Amino acid sequence: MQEPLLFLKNIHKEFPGVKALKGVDFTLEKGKIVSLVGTNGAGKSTLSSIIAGIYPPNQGEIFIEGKNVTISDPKVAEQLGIGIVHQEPTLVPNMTVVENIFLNKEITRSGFVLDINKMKQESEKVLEFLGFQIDVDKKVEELTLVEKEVVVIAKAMLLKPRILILDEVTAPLNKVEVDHLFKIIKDLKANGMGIIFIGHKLQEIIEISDSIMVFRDGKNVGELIPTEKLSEKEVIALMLGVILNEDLEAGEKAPESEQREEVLKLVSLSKLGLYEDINFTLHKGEIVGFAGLKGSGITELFQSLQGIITFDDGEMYVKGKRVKFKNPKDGIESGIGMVTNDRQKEGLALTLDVKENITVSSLKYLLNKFRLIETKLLKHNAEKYVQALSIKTPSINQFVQNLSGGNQQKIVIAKWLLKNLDIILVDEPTRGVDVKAKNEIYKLLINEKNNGKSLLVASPEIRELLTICDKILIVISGRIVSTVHRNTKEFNEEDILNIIHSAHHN
Amino acid sequence: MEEMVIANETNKDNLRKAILKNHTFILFIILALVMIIGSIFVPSLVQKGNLLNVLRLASIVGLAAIGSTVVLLVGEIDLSIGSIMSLTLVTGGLMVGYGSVPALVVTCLTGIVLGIINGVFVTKLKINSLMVTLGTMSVFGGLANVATRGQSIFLYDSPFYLWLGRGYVAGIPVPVIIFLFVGIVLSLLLKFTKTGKEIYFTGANKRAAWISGINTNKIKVIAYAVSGLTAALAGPLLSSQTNRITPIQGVGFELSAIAVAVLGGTSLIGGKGTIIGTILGALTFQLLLNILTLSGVGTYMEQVLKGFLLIVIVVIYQVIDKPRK
Repeated sequence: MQEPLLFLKNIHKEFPGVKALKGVDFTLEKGKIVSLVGTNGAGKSTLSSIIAGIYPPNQGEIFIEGKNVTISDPKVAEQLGIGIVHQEPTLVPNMTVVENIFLNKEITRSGFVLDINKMKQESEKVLEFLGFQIDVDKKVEELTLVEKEVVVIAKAMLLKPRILILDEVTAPLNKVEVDHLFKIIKDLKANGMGIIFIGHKLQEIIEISDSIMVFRDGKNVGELIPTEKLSEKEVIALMLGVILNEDLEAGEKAPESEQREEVLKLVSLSKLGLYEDINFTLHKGEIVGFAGLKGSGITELFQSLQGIITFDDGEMYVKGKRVKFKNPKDGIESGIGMVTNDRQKEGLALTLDVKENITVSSLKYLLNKFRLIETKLLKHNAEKYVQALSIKTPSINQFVQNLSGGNQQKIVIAKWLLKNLDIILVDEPTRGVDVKAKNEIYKLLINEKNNGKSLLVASPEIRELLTICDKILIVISGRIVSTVHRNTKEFNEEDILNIIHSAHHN
Repeated sequence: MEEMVIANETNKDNLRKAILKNHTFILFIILALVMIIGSIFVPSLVQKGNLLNVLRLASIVGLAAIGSTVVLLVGEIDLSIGSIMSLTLVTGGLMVGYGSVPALVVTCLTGIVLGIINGVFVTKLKINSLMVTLGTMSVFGGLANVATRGQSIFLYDSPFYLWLGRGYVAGIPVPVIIFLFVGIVLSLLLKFTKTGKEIYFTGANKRAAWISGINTNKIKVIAYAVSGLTAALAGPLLSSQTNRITPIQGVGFELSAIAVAVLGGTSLIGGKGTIIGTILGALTFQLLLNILTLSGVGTYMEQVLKGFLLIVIVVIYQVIDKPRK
């Protein structure tokens, strides 16, 4: 029998205070794709980090094609033919594609002079192999997100790995981009590469994997083979160790919401090159979804509504009053705040703690009569929201950078809830968030809706929008092309995707 | 071998965490060590007269360093404080004839105004603060020379100024009292006011601060105003040591102030730092300088020491502050 490409036996890994892996076995065959799934902290990232040489296991053995190896650092991993691609493209934005691909691996003539032509040739070869046409002299910051992902993969491909780890690479991509990426992955697989795929979007995982390894609590709790019959529910049940009731009670009040008080009205709102002629009305206690491909202008529209950028033409009314915000502070004063799609850069101060991040926008209300901060009140409010939103943190004094993606996201939402905004804009509510936290965030948003808040939600995951929204607006190239209401027959993923694709091709 | 690697890794992490948590304590230890080891090599270090002098000088540079700390906290830098010191000193000095106290008030107000000018340039011009304050350093310094035509102003007629720099209150040098007073007030303001918290948040992540509703421009201008004020306040204290005001009094001072702030744990990126750290940094810095002087190495070593310290501290803090992964 042929030896497996990669075999990990009885892997243990412990960090101060936590046992991340408790005796895990793992096998990867040539030309197969194995996915690792599990909630945050379940052990899947730890395992892939060990394979990539980021740190060694405390116990256990690793075999590559039958040979016992020690992967002491990432360089050794590279030499053994293991490549890893991370979620956030780790590229230098103002350098070119070829410069990025060969960063730290430059080809030189006689050890000194850079052989630019050879590097360009090699880059083009790799990109061609991946089935992509990208101008290697283009600066990375000018590329689309998919192109950036391809460049990162090209970088990993340079050393001709036989094992490739893809860690959350599809998180920022929409369905069309993911399909493109999957085609590349399938080609690599056909060429004999063994691929380890880590992700949160179970639909994708079921689509691409030959087998799915489920982690829970540091252990491998099962291997599922995606057949016709395998459902997401089964995978989630294994991940959480419970039977999951996926049906959330959403929008049962939907038909009535349109008769409620109007909180936001947009009339022919436009911004050159981004969105055009946006008309719609938002009512109290309503969640409205925005669906569209990347470049649809939805993010920019949301930004305009809080005042992060300004719109060019048209009219905006908040509770009947005409407004145009020049900065985010003005938007907040009028009761609008945005949870952006980049919480680390735009939503949080990672080096500060939980309580500072939750209370930053509400300091005005935490002052005593001498205009000084009432620390007790501040802590109390922070505690209140940590409880209410089930934010998992050892304390409110924990630095935010130490929390998981889902909990970080909840903190950004808590910040706006504490401020008691009327309208919350959420761009990609569960980007990089694990299944358990995803559901908690959905429940959270629906809860706020039931409390009378109004929400606009943008997401590349149609399923997500279908779960929580009362109606979904479909935006193509900056224009609203269609509206689909809950409890109508078009309110399903296939129909909405069809609308998007047909509108896109017109 | 694998076990050993793990042990080292865990210990390094624990060490890092311990340092970050007990920051102030560690600075105390370093100060104590410098004092103890220094006194072995140079016994005259711990003589009462010498220590009082060290305290006095530490207070002057420490005062300006407090201002630098605030600007660094906001994620910016102020290279012009040496020139602000010169110009405000000169403006006040020219007014000494009208009374010492009004002159001092003029000095301080000018400091605030020059600070605000810095703040407005940095926030409106979209050029980074290193370049902007490099420019204002030139302009303000140049103006100081223009105003005095390069001449010095003597302070014989101002007992108040002399007292400020050289006097005592209950046996404690006046500069020390001023330094501690300003330090405590600013420390409380940073910790317990809305503006203080907004300063920390702006330094930690300017864009997130802005989107969260903080008026980051206003915060930066305030930080620069504070920096200008403390620089202005330190001026008379410094010049009364030499009994005269020269238009180049502050040259090179910004480097001392920033070195002290960084030594005290203020991050050059922003969002991290404390006043108490800066106070300890000032004491340590001045003590080190004093040891050099007393051991006969020469006062010109000051510049070498400053530069060397800055590099060493920055490297150490880089290593400690590096987040995991």
